[in-house]
Amino acid sequence: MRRKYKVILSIATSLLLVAILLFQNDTFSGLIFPLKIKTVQLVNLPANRLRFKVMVTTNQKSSAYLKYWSRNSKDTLYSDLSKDSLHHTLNVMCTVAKTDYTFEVIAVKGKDYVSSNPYHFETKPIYQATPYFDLVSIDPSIEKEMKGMYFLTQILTQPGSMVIINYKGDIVWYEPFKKGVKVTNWTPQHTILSIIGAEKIPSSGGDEIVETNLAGKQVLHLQLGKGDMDKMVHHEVRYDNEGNIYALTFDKKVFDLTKAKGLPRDTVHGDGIVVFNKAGHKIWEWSMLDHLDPLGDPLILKHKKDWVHANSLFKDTDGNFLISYRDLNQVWKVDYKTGKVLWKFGEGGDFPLKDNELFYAQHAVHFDDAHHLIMLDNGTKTGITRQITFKIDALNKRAKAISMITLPKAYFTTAKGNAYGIDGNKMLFCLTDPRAFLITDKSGKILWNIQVGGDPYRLEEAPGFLFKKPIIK
Amino acid sequence: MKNIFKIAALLCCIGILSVASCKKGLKDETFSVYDESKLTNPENGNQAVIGAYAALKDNGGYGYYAGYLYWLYEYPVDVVTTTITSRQGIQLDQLTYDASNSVINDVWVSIFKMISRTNEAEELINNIDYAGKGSTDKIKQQYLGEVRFLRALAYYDATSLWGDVPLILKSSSHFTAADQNPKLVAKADVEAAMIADLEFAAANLPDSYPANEVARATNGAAKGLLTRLYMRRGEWQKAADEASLVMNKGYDLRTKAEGGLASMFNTNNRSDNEFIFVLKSSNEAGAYGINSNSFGINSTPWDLNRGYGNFPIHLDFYALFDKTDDRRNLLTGSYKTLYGQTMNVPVEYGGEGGSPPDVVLAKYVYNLKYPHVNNYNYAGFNNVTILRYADILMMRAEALNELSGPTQASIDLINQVRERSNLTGLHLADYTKETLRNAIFDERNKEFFMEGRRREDLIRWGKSASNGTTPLLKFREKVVPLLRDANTYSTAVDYTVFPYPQNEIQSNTSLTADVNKGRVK
Repeated sequence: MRRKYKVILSIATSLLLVAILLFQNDTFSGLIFPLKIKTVQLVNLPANRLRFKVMVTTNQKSSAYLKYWSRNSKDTLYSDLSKDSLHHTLNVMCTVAKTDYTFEVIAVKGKDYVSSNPYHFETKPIYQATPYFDLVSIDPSIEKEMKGMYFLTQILTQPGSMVIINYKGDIVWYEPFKKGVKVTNWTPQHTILSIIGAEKIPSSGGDEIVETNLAGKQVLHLQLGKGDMDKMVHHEVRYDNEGNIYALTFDKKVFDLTKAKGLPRDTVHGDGIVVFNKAGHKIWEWSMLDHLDPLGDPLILKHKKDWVHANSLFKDTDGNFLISYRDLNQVWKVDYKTGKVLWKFGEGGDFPLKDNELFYAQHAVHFDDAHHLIMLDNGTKTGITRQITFKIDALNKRAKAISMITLPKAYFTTAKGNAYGIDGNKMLFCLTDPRAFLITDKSGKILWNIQVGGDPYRLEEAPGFLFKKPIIK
Repeated sequence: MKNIFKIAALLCCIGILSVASCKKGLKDETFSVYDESKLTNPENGNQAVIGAYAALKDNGGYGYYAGYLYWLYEYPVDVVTTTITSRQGIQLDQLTYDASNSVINDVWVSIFKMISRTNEAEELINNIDYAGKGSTDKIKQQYLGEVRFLRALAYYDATSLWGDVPLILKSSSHFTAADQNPKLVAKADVEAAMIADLEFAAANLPDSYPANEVARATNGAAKGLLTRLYMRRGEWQKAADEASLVMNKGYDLRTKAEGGLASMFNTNNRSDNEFIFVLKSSNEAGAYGINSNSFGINSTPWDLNRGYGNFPIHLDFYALFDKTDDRRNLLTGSYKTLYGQTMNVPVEYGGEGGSPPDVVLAKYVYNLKYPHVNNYNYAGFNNVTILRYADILMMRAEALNELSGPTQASIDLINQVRERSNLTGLHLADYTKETLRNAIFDERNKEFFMEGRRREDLIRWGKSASNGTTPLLKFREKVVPLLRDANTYSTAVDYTVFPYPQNEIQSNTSLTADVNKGRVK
């Protein structure tokens, strides 16, 4: 009798121990209440044919993400990651049109890992993005590295769009706008900063600055006439290292132009620079009209509506601005603190240059990581478009072209475009008149060639566009 | 002792293994797909509004205002009776109905379906950014006004039929557990919610709509329904004031020159500014069960034009009319049958009479307010009048009489209605408050028969005539003599309210079995 009693007592005790173990310890409680995906809701976003949202709920707080793949493809893609939540909103952000995809939800908590059933979605044709991007050729030597690369460009016409393409020219992401998207910039935060404006606003100008994240959410929106934005912006909008936004503006000032046979009170339109902080407040402003005498231009009456035409702006590591004036064939360095012009580079500038180093109607002037000055020389005087890399000695006002990539005559572009170094030893070109995106090596050999069905303004790489498989600690 | 540990260890292992093995069990997650921008655009709001209007017919045919509501409003009272064909109809006509009467259930379901649609529409419209999406907030308020008008109309019928009813004013997405089994709410509280809805509608609905948006509720409709509600509540001053707000709003009586009242119901005449709010429907072949009403085929007798004659009217009612009364032409006093004979009302009921073989004497007459002309079988497109201007005039006249006895103002209002139908006017000097009240209700009977008003009129008449003590005074006086067996009328039953449907009692746990006490025999 006593023995039986002991047996029962022992069993009860051990069961109790198990129970305590189960509820005290996460690993053990995970055994009895395993992590579960409760609901999966696929949200079609009819305004965007490539993007999908998936709402997931799990039975306990966990991390969740999607993996997805297109039919007949071995490449697995991943969504963004949602952390430590019961409700997850996950975004599918890299797809091509008219394709069937399969996705699975993965939820992870500690060592607990569950995946959902596979579900399907299908992308629709993108009728908004009328310009097409066709791969003409790709050199086999770069095919492998190109596979993981994505490029940001834009559609300037109405309706406009921010566009990201893969190496084959397939649109994998886009964000449509009723107005034109004049210029785009891929930010370090993996968002897209852009100037938006009606097609009829000239000079890549616009009345809105919009920053969109990859999920399609506008994270920043400045509008002309609202807040501190009192002038239209054009050609360039970027973040500086402090997180402020800088852009070129349209400015105007009244001059006495009687000496040039103009009016005593004549308005000259020129360019300026504006800097907004994160909250959209204007913190700095500059106008070239304060630094250049219009009477110095014998054709000022002809030019006064868009005098010298700035077309790119770059904030140097020293905090000063590099501004490119197309019609002057010059690049200026402007002191951020004083607004003074530190130097002028180019035809008639402060640096002596050889004849073949002179550039005409240059675009997208900037310093690369080695602090070399990179530009696309449209070459309106020579009929040859090329990329030039200058080594600049600002102190002694000396400059030297250390490399040039001269493009075949067929790729001459009178306006717009850019040349950005890519992958260390190659150059990425956007060439507007011939409607081409190119990658060349240092010698100018064309390694990659995309034909465009529209007039793009710029093209740049979008590193980090593709979400990698999340690492969950 | 060793054994004990072994057993214990084994049990632990089994325990852990058994729960661990469940881990990779069935994936019971649910999957769903929806479109983000669905139901977020102004046109979706309009669709929701139209969907709420469609609930007035509850899929057409016999649903709600397309039919069954009139079974509850007309059969139990003294004008319309039934033939022997419909058991549910006979129960209603002979006051032998109980909680399982299918028509009572049908109307209950239709009413709450419409309330549900209006609640969902209200929620949907509220969530749409009209101004931001190219529309205007004015349109948004109008849409909200329309659905709130419809909700008030549904509650009007619900409270007229059952008194206390569940009051639900929110979308199912906001339901709590208690809302799944809603409790009955006092009629007065439901009416307060209706007044709020109607005042909102009156403030936000337009005076009229473009010609292509027929039959949408106007602010006149909202004020008209509010008048009707104040009348039912015996708030005479408010009723008189509200009625006067509908006057001078572009509504008038269809005049003799235009063809009078009879022509208003002609199926070739689809609109008239005497209509304040009507149910519109379609006569297309496929419309039955979707977008039609079956009043046409149910109203007229077979030997007239192959109708089903489901709303026969007592000859005594025909006898009430003056021979010159134009409105008598809306009854089948004399017609040529399909078989070549003439069907006449006997002389003693005011008809032309006659003798066989040329003339057959009618046992009943039938209404011609829903002529079975231009309809396709059951797919009828007759206007079903919910509110018309004559009612506004008569309500104001009655309210003024209740307030201060006979006045020239109320006599004038009544005379507008009488004179339009070829009758001479009443004279102020001939009436006391009591006799004018009786004249008003007799006039209303002849003006609005088969328009769903008689049941409520008898109750209101009874209340007024008994100072509120005996609402069934007139109901009993008029209905009992017409019953096949006078003993079916029970003084223990409150005929002003119908029993709650059995289906509802069974599915709504808030309703107890004794909820129908005093509502059925």
